[in-house]
Amino acid sequence: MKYPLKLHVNQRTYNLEVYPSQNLRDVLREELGLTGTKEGCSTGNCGACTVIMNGMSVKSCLILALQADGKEILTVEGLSTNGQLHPLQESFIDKQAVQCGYCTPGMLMSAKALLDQNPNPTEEEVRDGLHGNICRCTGYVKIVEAVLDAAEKIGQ
Amino acid sequence: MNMFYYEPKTFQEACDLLNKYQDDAKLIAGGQSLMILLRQKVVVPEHLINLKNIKEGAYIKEEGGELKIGALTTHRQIEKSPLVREKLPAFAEVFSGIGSVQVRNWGTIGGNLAHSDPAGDLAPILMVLGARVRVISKSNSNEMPLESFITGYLETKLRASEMLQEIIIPLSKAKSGMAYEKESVRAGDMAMASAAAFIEIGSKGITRAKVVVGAVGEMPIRLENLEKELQGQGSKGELHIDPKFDQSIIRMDPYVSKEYKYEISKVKLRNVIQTAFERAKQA
Amino acid sequence: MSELNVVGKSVKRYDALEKVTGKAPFVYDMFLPDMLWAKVLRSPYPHAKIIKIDTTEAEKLPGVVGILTAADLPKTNHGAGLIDEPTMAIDRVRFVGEPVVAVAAESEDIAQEALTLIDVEYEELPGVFDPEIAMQTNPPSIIHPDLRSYSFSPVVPPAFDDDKPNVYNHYKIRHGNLEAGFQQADVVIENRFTTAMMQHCQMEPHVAVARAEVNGDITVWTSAQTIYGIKQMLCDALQMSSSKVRVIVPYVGGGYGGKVEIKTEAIAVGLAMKTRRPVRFAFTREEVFTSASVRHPSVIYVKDGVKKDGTLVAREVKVILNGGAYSAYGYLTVRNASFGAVGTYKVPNFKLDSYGVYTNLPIGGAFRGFGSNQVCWAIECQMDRIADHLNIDPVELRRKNLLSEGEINVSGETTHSYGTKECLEKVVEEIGYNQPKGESKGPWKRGRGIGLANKYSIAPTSSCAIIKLHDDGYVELRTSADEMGQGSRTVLAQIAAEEFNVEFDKVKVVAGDTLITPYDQGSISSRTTYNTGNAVRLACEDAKRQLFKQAAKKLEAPPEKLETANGRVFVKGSPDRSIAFGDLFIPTMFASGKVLKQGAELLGKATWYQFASAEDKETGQGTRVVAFYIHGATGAEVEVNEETGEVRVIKAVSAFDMGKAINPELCEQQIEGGIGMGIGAALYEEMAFDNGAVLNPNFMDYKIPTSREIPGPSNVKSFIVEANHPDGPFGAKGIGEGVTISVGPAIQAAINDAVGIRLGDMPMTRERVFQALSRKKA
Ligand SMILES: Cc1cc2nc3c(=O)[nH]c(=O)nc-3n(C[C@H](O)[C@H](O)[C@H](O)COP(=O)(O)OP(=O)(O)OC[C@H]3O[C@@H](n4cnc5c(N)ncnc54)[C@H](O)[C@@H]3O)c2cc1C
Ligand code: FES
Ligand code: FES
Repeated sequence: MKYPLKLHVNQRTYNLEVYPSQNLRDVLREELGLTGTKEGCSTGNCGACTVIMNGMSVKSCLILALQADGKEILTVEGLSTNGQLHPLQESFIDKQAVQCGYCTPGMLMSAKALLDQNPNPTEEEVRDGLHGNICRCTGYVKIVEAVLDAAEKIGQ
Repeated sequence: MNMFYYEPKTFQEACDLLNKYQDDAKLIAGGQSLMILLRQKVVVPEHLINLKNIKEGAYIKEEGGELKIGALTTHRQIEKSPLVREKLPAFAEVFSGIGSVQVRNWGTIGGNLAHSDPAGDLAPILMVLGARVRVISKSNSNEMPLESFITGYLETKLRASEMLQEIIIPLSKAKSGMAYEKESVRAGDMAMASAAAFIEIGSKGITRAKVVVGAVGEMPIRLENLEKELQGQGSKGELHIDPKFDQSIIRMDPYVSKEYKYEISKVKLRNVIQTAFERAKQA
Repeated sequence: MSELNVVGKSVKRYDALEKVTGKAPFVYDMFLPDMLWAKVLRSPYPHAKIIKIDTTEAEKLPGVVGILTAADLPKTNHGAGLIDEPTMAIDRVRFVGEPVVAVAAESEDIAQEALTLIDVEYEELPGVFDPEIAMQTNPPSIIHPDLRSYSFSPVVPPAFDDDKPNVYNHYKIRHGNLEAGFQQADVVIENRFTTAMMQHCQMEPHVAVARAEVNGDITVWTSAQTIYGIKQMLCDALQMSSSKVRVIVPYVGGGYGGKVEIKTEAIAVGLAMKTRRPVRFAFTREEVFTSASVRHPSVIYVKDGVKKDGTLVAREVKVILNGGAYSAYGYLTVRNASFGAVGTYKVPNFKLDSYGVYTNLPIGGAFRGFGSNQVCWAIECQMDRIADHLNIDPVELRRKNLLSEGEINVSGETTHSYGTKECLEKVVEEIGYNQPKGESKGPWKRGRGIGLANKYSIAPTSSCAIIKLHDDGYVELRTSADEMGQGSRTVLAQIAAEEFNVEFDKVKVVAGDTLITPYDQGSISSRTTYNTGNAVRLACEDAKRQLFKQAAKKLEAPPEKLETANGRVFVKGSPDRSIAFGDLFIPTMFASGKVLKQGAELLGKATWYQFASAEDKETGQGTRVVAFYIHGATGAEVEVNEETGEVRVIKAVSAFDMGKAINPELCEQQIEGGIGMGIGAALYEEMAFDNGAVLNPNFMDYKIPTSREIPGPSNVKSFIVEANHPDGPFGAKGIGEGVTISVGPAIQAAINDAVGIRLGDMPMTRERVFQALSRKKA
């Protein structure tokens, strides 16, 4: 049986009907076409599906879609506003923190949640804040650099 | 198969649903363990009861010399709680090693304990702290020690109509210290071995010791012999720790040998006892 | 060479904007209208005969639209060189996870449920998992009884062994006189080394979406790194004419060698043809582990003869690669793994035998390093043990035995573009090799170590490129070099920008569509910059020739007097005599755009063919066996916990010679990523099995390092060394695979420096370290 679901994603409201077994990630990707949120594992380990829900980073593959009812969700598609890139997106480009790019959206969302809570993190704190997101390409070096760079930009 | 879904707003509503659907119902809190089982169809409930809307279920408070934590409180809420950090700093510390921020933001303490994974981080430390759990059903509410609540590998005393409401941690008034350590391959991984210790000291050394070895057995296990050996030790400052235990409790593991698990468990036990003792001295 | 404007500069990646906004197209994100979902029933047995397949119940399930078995497909195999693998199991399964029945249904759930209704009857056969047992003369099972009748690639034919029925390829190198060499030696040292099975773990799992067009053509979108290879394998597997098949590869969420074979494509196409609807076949993470390819586990014996002063006089190497159920790219890995023992050291008398052995395990294929990881692991560990034995510093021992420019290596090739020495010295300095060790805290002991690597690139091989010049001055590059994160589009665009003297953002890349982009062997073997880069240069020259011919008339100057910059053609030395590309076009009626008066388009095209010399089958000797060698060194500083065996990498430094860095920051990306993956291989990653079934097919139990296990930016340093290659574009070679290779050996050496143990098995898990420490104590 399907149940009504009201999702506020990137400041838009969607009225949907979903099955209880559906997870938030699949609803974002398959029902709303927001495929910036990636699927990498479905066991909560890779972090590619990370979105921000009511200000907290969560792994959308481990959240029942219906649990997100009425919540504010931010995905990578909502990170830039009015065509203006978020400082994290700029820093990911400038510091060359992108390779295959499949982990990038999840990484950006985790980084945003981290900076929202800790605007001035140390290198150690960034490494710690991102360890729920796997990147197989970069060795994380330029990603950590980019987050530190963005923190500095936001601070200014 | 059709799956029905409910969003109780109170514990009572949740208990009513459990009472009605019994074995056909499944509770979901943070889903950080359950979602994987649902996806693999290891668990196929007919009635799925989402506990996340029970607002009264997430709290941390001090009452009558005890810390009370609602079952729906997330790992992250406890980790960041000024009250927990003040009263039980070593407990607050454990959370930073659970999974990742994302997991802690949505996973709950109740779900962690009800899931009863022997490799989980919370049961060992809560056991040495002498924590109790409040188990409720439609018409009952009982407290029991966490130690007797956990009965085996992914098993607890919970019956189909029952759920966890609260975790109660007594706050020791004695000079005491506690410590938890896990050995995990990567940051935030489930433990391959773990140990927790709680130690109270008086003028004649250790007056009370509680020691648990986690992860290697079917469930976290109290080491009462070791606790006895520690009694009275340390009045001169030095401890003599011989953390051996019955190796037959160690479960088979496809990745590491039982022998190795035993050896690192001993290292962890020695470390937590020593640290708990040092912390007690400084308390 | 005149000064370079774009090449050698760290321009920002061509694809970064699309990727940071979540807009970059990946096949895993494709959901077509009217699309069906495919799921595959896989073998639960490592080795069995299929007696009967019954799908009647599944067919009745509402929502099931099509079911595919081998009976629906041509009885033809496919492969990367040895044609031994059916698309779906025909009468026998050879590994747990082999596809047996595929279902297409209206939803993923229905497809999944349908699998539970299928009944397959098997008769179990003995499974063989240990390659040394499998390669015996009388193994417990012969996995491919028809091996001798399979067809194979004529380019590098496989060599079988008469007395080893499970060996699918045996490669040999013979150089000098081994016996004589050992007689000259003061010491002979022999050791056995092993490496584990690893999975690539691309973050985007394997996926294909297939559509059968009404005219019988096929369009397949796939996450792959060899677009033309996939197309060929599809044509082989499904017996289709190549013009009927169109393969499209948008961005690829990681490859590392693991997306070169048809794991999803043929099944998706088979189902699409059967159901006449688009079909999406996406691996779950678990399927990536059980049914995609893996890095061959290996057993390697190295026997060396050395003089007292450390000079190598003889080396005998036996490489055993556990190939799993089918040869796939592993067929070539058997040969190419050998080059790990070729590219770094000078050995006057040398013998190598490399064997690819069938077992009932997942298929060993290409994996970043392509065999060199395994062989260099063994060789580097062996060098350290020689140093121990002779009481010589390991770095000194290496210095003594390195090749030099112009010297003949054991394959008979002349050494060129050999940056090893410079890399080694750089790393010695930067890791602080000769500095006092960092202090120990409690059970944590510190140590440093260095490992070397070489990685050949494949030959013969070829790439093509097409350049089209637009009337607005833009340069369009058409390439089939797959973009899987390595930055091929960026680097190739830089080369085109340099050739046309335009800014980087005036180059448009059209990539990855066999209908419009030309042949390329693919993003494998660290080959794209060198091969496709050369093709781009040649195509640019071709386009310029035509451009200048057309402009010559208008500028009243001979073509050879012309040059181009910023979308204009100039008369050399006369900056005021120029014409814009657009002025070569004339306006058409009704504002329908501009047209070129002659020749339709300004199109340049070229093939780059990297030849290889003939190679003696018995000795492996040739004058050009590989395209080039990448060289480099990694230094690691570690902390080892003496009580638990845990190893933490504190610092890693790599210096690599890629010939010429077309884009230095992109080279750093490869170095840093290589360090990260190398740490995973060195310390954590190992697929575990029970009777052929993968026990850890998920990211919970298969441990990829996270940002906490790899040192942060202040402790990871990469250095670029440029030993220009005479044949490379602007002197460039490649970089992608080199670095991972050297990381394991460096960590091994650092562990020894910290706690005095020599490990020979990768990964160096904490249990292995612990055991070695216990043995040392005992
Ligand atoms: C990537 C990852 C890493 C992790 N790492 C760790 C780790 O290092 N250490 C660790 O300890 N844990 C770890 N976990 C598990 C995590 O702690 C989970 O949050 C926890 O096990 C379950 O809590 P939950 O609220 O998500 O429960 P759910 O998944 O919702 O439920 C788990 C079980 O408990 C039952 N349940 C939930 N709430 C109640 C209740 N109030 N009363 C009765 N039954 C209830 C459910 O029916 C279900 O059977 C990890 C999880 C993930 C995904
Ligand atoms: S897809 Fe959610 S964590 Fe991997
Ligand atoms: S950039 Fe490829 S996984 Fe991170």
